[in-house]
Amino acid sequence: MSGEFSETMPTCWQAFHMKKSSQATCISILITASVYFISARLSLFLAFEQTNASPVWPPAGFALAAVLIAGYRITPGIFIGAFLANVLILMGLEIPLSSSIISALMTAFGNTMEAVAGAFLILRFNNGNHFFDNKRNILKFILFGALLNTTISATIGATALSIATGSWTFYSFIWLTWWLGDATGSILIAPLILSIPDWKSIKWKKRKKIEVLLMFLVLILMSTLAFKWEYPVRFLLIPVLLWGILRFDIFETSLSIALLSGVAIVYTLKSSVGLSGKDLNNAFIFIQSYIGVISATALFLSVAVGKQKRTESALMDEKKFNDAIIDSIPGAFYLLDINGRLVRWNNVLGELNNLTPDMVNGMNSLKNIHEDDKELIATKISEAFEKGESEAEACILTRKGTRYFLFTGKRIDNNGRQYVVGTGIDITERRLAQLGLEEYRNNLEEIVKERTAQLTGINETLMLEVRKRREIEGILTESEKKYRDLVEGANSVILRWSRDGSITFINKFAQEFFGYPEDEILGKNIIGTIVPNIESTGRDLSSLIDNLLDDPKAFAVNENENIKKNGERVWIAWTNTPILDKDGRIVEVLSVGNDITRRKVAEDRLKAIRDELEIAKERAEASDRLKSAFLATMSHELRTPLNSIIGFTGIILQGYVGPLNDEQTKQLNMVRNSANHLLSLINDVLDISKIEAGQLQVSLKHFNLRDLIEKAVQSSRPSADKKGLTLSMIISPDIENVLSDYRRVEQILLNLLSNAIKFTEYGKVTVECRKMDGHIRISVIDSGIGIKEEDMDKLFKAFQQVDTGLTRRYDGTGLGLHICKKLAELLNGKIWATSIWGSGSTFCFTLPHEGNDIWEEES
Amino acid sequence: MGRRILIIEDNEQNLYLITFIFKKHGYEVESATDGMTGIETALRIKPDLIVLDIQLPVMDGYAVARRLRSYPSLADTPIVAVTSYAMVGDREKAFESGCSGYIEKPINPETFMAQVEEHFVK
Repeated sequence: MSGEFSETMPTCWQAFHMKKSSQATCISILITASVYFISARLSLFLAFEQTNASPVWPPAGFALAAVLIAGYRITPGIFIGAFLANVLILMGLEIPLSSSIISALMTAFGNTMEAVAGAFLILRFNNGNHFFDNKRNILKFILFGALLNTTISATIGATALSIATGSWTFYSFIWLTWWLGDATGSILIAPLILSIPDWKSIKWKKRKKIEVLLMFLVLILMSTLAFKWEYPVRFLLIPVLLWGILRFDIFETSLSIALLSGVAIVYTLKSSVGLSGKDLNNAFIFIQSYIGVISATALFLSVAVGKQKRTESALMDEKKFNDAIIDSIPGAFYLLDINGRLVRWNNVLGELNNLTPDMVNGMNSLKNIHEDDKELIATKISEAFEKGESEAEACILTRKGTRYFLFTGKRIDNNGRQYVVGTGIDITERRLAQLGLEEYRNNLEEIVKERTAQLTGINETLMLEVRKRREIEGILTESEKKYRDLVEGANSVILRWSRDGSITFINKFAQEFFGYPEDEILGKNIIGTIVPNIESTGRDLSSLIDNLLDDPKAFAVNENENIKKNGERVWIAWTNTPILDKDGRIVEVLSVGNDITRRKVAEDRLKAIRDELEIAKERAEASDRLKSAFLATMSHELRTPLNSIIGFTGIILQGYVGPLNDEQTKQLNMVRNSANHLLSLINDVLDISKIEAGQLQVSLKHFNLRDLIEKAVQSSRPSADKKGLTLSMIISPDIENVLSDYRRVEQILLNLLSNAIKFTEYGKVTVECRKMDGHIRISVIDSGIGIKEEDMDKLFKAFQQVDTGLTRRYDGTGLGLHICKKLAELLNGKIWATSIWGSGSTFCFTLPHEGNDIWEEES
Repeated sequence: MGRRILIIEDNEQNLYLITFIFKKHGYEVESATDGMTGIETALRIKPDLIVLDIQLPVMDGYAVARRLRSYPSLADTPIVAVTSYAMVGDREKAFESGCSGYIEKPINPETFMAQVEEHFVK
């Protein structure tokens, strides 16, 4: 039970799936038997009293339906039910039991076969569709399921009954009624059962439900009128039935005829109570025929109408589906008739110009085509009709303006009429693009020309580049050669080594220097070959490589010890330059070195000397300090006793201790003079010691030179007067303040004056002072005995006394002039003497101008 | 004159000599033979002039001079240093330590007084 029928009108039997277990089969058999039996018993109520036969035998319909629904398995149920029903009926008649049983068995067999044969034939000749699907099928159903198969039952049943009753008189009658009874039963009941709808899926509106009920009511009423009160309205039943047939489905129709039949039978039954014989037969047969024909016809019509409806519905759906497809076409769809009018179209076409379907229908297809293209389109349409196919590009006016469309057309024939069907696609964008492209193409030539020119230019440039490159390569090769010559000819050690220390290049000089031929040293590590692990100084060189790579800048210039092949250690000053790859990582190091062994040795020696000097200096300083302490002590110690001697003699001579006689005075004077002399000796000795020890320092202060000279002259006057000498001074007026050591200047001047007076017997002594170029000159000029030429050298030397022939040797220490010289030098001046033996001498000393301590040599 | 002189000198003879000269010229003389005593005495008698031998034992003359100068009461007292003037910087040191002047040893007995009197009331 499948096919289209079930889709349009689902029955409740779709959901019915009988399990194929034996248990289920037994149950269904039992149910079948029970229902058959019960329906058989009920049918007896519709039986004519006289014959005990029912004009309509519903169990037959039930049995057929059961087999069609549940399958051949339940046939035992039919048999059981039929047997039981018949046996009971027969037992009511006066027949021996055995006959009843046999008869009943036979009848039951007949009933069962009827159902089986009917089902078999129906299914066999079904062409896949449902039995109620179309007119052909329903006719087959009626034929096989109600007319033919029932002959079996009728035959067997009538025979069985005749055997049972022993009367064969009424065989034909019995057969006929039996046959008609089963037939009508089948027609009435089987379709009814088979078309019971799936109540859940009924989607009727309320109105329809009311209508159907109304229809049933009218039917019943009309039937009652026709059969109970015997109004001549039996014909009116037909319109009512038609109402049901047209408006509703098979189930409602089946039910209608069942109800009608029911009413008909009941009242015919009642009205034929008194009838007998031929009248009774006629009544019986009439009612059977009536019911049979009405039912068959109604059923047939219902199926036909149903089919029609379904077909229409399907067609409707089909149409809707087609419309949907057509509407979904991205372009405008159109169907033109031979005159070029629009017959069918889709909504895209309509929307182009906001046209309603009414406006489009029958519209001339050229209506919205652009003026310039109308002729083209018309031509194309004709072409499509003639040749079968055509297409054109044209402009069409739409509510969005003029658009450029591609129109296709293909001829189709439909029922002898020709149409052209096609689609129109908006290709405005494409066209614009195309136009743009054409323009571009036109420009392309220009562009190509330009480009060609560019390329030619580039090509020329490229050629130049290549030429240049070749040149550069040539220069590079030459340069490389020069470099190589340089490296090889250099007098320095040049080598390159990689990150791990292995030597990648070593120049000739280096090879000879270190004593390794190239093949012996290339690839070896610098440490172990030319770099010793430990220097002579003790410095560890094994990590030299790592240190250098870490901080190349620190080792850009580096001195370290190296070792030749023969073990000789040398010192080399290296310049280490890292060579970087394009990422800035050190790949190799270029080391250029110069032998500084000699220098190093010299440096070491120098250092040793310096150390020695340092020691010597310290010793000298210590010695100086010692001398200094010595001098200080001596100075103090020597002077202290003199303090008493000079002091006390002085006091006594001044008369503070009492009067003195001449002899005491004379002798004390001699003591004092000696003491003074001793003091001057001590002073000289100490001075010269200090000078020699470098301990004498001059303290430079500003003082009035004029005053100093005057004072010195004054203190020398007594001794000059004593000898009757003239003592004078000539001081240049521009002599004022000088920067020097007062004490020492005084010392020098006094010494010179003392000498001048000492060595002059008569005449004069003059002190002169004048400013000269860069210095001040002080001169002591005497008219004394002079100095011999050969003695001039000895003058300023220490411990040298010039033999003057005089016996006053005791007056000198031999140190005076020497000290003067030293002092003059300390004052940044010079001292010298000029003399003429017998005439006199001139002693000069100079003082530099303030701030001018650059002394110019005076000859 | 009646002025009081303090002489700080460790050498007996020198002390005798200078004291004699001062006394002969009418000064009162106090003396001390070492620095500490000298300072104490100076503070006590507040002399009009101090003659200070540089070559003193234990506490040398410069230190004494500095110490003397540190007392406000002796700030203006003339201090004349008597020194052998042997070594470099002796003179500077004398002035730096607060001496008003210096006289070289051995003294000149004829000019000594005049030299000293220069330093009175400047």
